[in-house]
Amino acid sequence: MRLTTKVVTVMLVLLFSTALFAGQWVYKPMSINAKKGDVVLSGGEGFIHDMLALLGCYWSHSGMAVDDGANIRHNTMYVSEIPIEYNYFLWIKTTPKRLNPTRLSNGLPGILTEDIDTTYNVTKNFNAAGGAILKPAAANEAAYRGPLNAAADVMNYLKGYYRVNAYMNMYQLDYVNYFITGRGNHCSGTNWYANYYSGKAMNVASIPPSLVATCSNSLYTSVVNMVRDDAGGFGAFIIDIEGLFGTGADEKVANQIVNTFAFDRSTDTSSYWRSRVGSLTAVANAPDHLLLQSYTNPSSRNPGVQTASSSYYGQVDPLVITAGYYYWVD
Amino acid sequence: MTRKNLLIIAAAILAIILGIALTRGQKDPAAEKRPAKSRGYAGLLDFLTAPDSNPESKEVNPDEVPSYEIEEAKIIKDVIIEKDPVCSGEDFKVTVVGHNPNGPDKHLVYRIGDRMGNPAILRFNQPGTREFYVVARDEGKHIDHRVVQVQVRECPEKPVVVLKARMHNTAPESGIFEVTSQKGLAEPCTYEWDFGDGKKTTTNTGYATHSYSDRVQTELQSSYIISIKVTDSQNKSVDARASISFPNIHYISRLMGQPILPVTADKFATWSGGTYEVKATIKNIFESQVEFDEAELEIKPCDSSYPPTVKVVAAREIMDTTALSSLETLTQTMRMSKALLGPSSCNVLVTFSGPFDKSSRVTAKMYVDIPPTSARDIDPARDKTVTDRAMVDKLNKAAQILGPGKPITPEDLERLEREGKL
Repeated sequence: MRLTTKVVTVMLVLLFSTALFAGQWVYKPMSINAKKGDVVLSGGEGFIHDMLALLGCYWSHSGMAVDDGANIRHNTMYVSEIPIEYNYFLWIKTTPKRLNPTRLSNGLPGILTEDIDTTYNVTKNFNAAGGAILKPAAANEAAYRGPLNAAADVMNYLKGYYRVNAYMNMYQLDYVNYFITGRGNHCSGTNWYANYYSGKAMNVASIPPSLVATCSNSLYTSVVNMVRDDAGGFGAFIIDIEGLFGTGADEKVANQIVNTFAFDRSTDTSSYWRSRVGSLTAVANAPDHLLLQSYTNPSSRNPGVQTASSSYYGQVDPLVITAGYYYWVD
Repeated sequence: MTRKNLLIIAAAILAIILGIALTRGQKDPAAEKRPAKSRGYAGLLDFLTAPDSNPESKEVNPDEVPSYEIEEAKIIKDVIIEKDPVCSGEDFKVTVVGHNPNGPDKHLVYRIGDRMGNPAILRFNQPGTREFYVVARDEGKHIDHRVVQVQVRECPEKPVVVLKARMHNTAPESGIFEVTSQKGLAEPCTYEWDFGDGKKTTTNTGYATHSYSDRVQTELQSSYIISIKVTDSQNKSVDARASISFPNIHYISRLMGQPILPVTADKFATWSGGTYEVKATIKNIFESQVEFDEAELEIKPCDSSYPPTVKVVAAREIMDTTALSSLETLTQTMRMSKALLGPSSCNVLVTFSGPFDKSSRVTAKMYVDIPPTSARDIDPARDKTVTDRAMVDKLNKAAQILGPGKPITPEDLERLEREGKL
């Protein structure tokens, strides 16, 4: 063998062995301090969040940990991805008409599982700041963890649309793992059903007609303001919808959303809701209402809405995210 | 066509229809008003994948679900608008005067327009008579609304800076603040920030983050007004504000009978002389003295397919000072021996606890990551080897800057990129 060939061979061997034993960068994903079955609460802004804010709720989104801190399953809707329908004149697209009624009424992605990196960093469906974990009180941890694991298994199984109308009537999620048009729930309602189908019926809020009317008016105003002022609630959606301002279509879209919220009339852009909403009683839950079991405040009043028998969740912990990080190993 | 063929075709059509019914649940919305049980055979095959339970017997009967009524209450006494009319794009402060008829005022939660908290900063872009709602509620069942109007007019000559505040997506107790628009100023600009909690800073970009983790928690909600002064190259300056609000979870934890103290700690443990060390600050937000007597360690192995191990030791084995007087903030180095944690441990949750108010126990929780140092500690189920060449180069470069052997977070990379070092 010629010398140059030997040298090249030795160098190649050295190069490959260096590559083989040089080590590697590895990413350890983020995780949170939730155990399987705990409820994860999050605050934030936007259209979906505004729905719960009507009830003055601080936490506007919730999901359930379906393992020990690596994944959250929750129900949400990407309003910015609802197609806009346009008017046509002689087959030429003219002015925006309304949101696609099917997608507004049956929101996507609906119930989905996201890992912590994705939901806090990419889709930002959850925010760390202001976040909290609802879990059993320490004394009940051993007794309640089994049922909560079962609730998480149900949550893993359930599939359904995000339903804006579920704020009016929460009882519309079936024990199925496929989409049914016209069936689904909102975020807290989905958590409620996961507990319900595993054997625990938590207390549910009843909202009287006068309050439903106020909430509907507030939602209408909120949507109009979001559209007019680029308040951020609609994300990319605002780019399209801004063109609606001045055409009266912003008010039509607000009507369409309130009609969907109150009556599931997602095709209706009229003010149908205004004269009828005062007779509705809503039955729906909100994340804030999972707190304060049997709590008695310093004025000896009991504003808490759950009791020790209606909920497994007796303790709130601040959310902790253990950092996702890259590490080097030889 | 023979009768036999017709029968075969009919059977095939029937099979297709049955197959669709069994595997799909799509139907017209009107049909959904029927009870779930009567909705044909959709979902008949669910038993193949459903968790063990009997959902058919659990169809919700709303009349049997215990409920509570949200009640209207007179909570809002007054709404004070800083100025009216306002210019389009200009911020203005709204303050709600509220009184809780059913409990302490500090247990009220406010939302003003699209902002949580009280006071709040609002802004309207489009001129005209603009409307927003104010909501106030107590800890649970009582709520009050008020609709408020403000006149918005065009002020074309007025320079406007728009500052937006939002909750941090990955850092608890923190906010992200960003100047999203500035009209009438010449670049470059300097940005003087006042975060509303006594902390201030100056930057040369319109972006900042700030942690409110050391705030005093004496009510359900803490609200802050963030101010910025933007000064341009010709020494012209414009002020802007935004507001942010945090729920006081530690305060709520006490109301729920499980008091927790806030802890801020290093993300990663450092290895020193046979022990893992973590610098941590515990704040006693309560008016009672706290003395920790116990520390429970939940030690998670690097391989997440193995369960965590739990060890209980005396608190003084980990912390030098175990007592905190009322409202005291204490920073100290926590130490855990390698023998205590065992090999191949990647995460430890330390829960310090001690007696509190005679009948309950107070806790303080510290989460510590211990980055793996050898290939055998890679978690095969969750960890991901970086194979992208560009990312590897970026990490190598970051390691040179930050020091070898240290873990690198995505925030480190983002910061170094923003500083132009990567």
